[in-house]
Amino acid sequence: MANSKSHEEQYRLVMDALAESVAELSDFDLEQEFKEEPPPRTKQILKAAAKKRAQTKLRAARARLEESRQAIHGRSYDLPKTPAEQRALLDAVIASKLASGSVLLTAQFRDRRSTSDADVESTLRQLDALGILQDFRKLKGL
Amino acid sequence: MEKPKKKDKTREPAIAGRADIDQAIENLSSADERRLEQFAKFKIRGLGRKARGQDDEDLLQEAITSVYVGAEDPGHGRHWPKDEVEFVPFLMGVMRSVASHWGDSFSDDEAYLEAELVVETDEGELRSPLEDAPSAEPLPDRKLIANEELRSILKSFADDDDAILIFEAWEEGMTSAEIVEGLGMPKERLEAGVKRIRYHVRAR
Repeated sequence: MANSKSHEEQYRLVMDALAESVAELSDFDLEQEFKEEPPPRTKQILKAAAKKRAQTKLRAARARLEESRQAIHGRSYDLPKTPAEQRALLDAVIASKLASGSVLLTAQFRDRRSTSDADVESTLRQLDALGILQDFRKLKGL
Repeated sequence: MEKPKKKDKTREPAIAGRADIDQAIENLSSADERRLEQFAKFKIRGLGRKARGQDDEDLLQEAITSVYVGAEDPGHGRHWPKDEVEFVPFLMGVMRSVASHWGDSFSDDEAYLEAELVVETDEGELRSPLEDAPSAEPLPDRKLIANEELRSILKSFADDDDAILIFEAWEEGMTSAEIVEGLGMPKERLEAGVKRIRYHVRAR
């Protein structure tokens, strides 16, 4: 038979044909032909890939979270000095958003008297980082 | 292997989610595990240096990672239409695609690893052409190495006309069906010949 392909191409074609021959074998013939071989580790290999991907995604999510934490903590904020003033500002912002119907409150903020001073300050920082405080101040002419 | 459900052309195919893929892996029979393992091994052998040192486990992992990506992102990865195709044939299809991509993205100018040049002589000894090559001479051509491998395998079938015919037909890119129909070889003789070739190549 006259060969018209390169030796590398012929070699690949032969190995590909052998791969396809395995794909077409019946379960019984496969088991018979490979019964002397050590058990396959395919499940283990596939599960390891799934685990590796999950870990990569987790690391990426952690990195994004850390990045946004750094962004919030690393910048300067224009917040009132005292806890009472901060709480008043948060109340005003929330009232304004509620009035415009543009906010949904989580249970945590429905009763703001039970919210700690630290949470109030942290929430204001996040609102400032999102530009919401700036919008509020513009709206109120502050 | 479970039979896939009949295709309903009026509906979009249901794409498997992560849990479906986890379950399909868990449900693999030992024959399926062996089938995927051997399929990957032969694909990698066929790629030779184009695999860039990656092995059959890397091929399996790249393929399944792509399926997981497709389960979570409609714009990326491979999407397994679980009601239309069984998991094992689908994963083999992904491996074909990954192997083809690896082969296509390889440049012939890329450097050789010495391990890629080691060939088995007719006497069954492993030999690196680098051992004999004076330093000023160019590296041996992979094409010559592939040819040496092919001739060495073929030589071992000197008295097996069916195996030689199948082997040469494969070198020309013919499929099993084409060998049966085009060359008139009965299916049983083809399967027996393929089995002898597979056994011999695996043992090398």
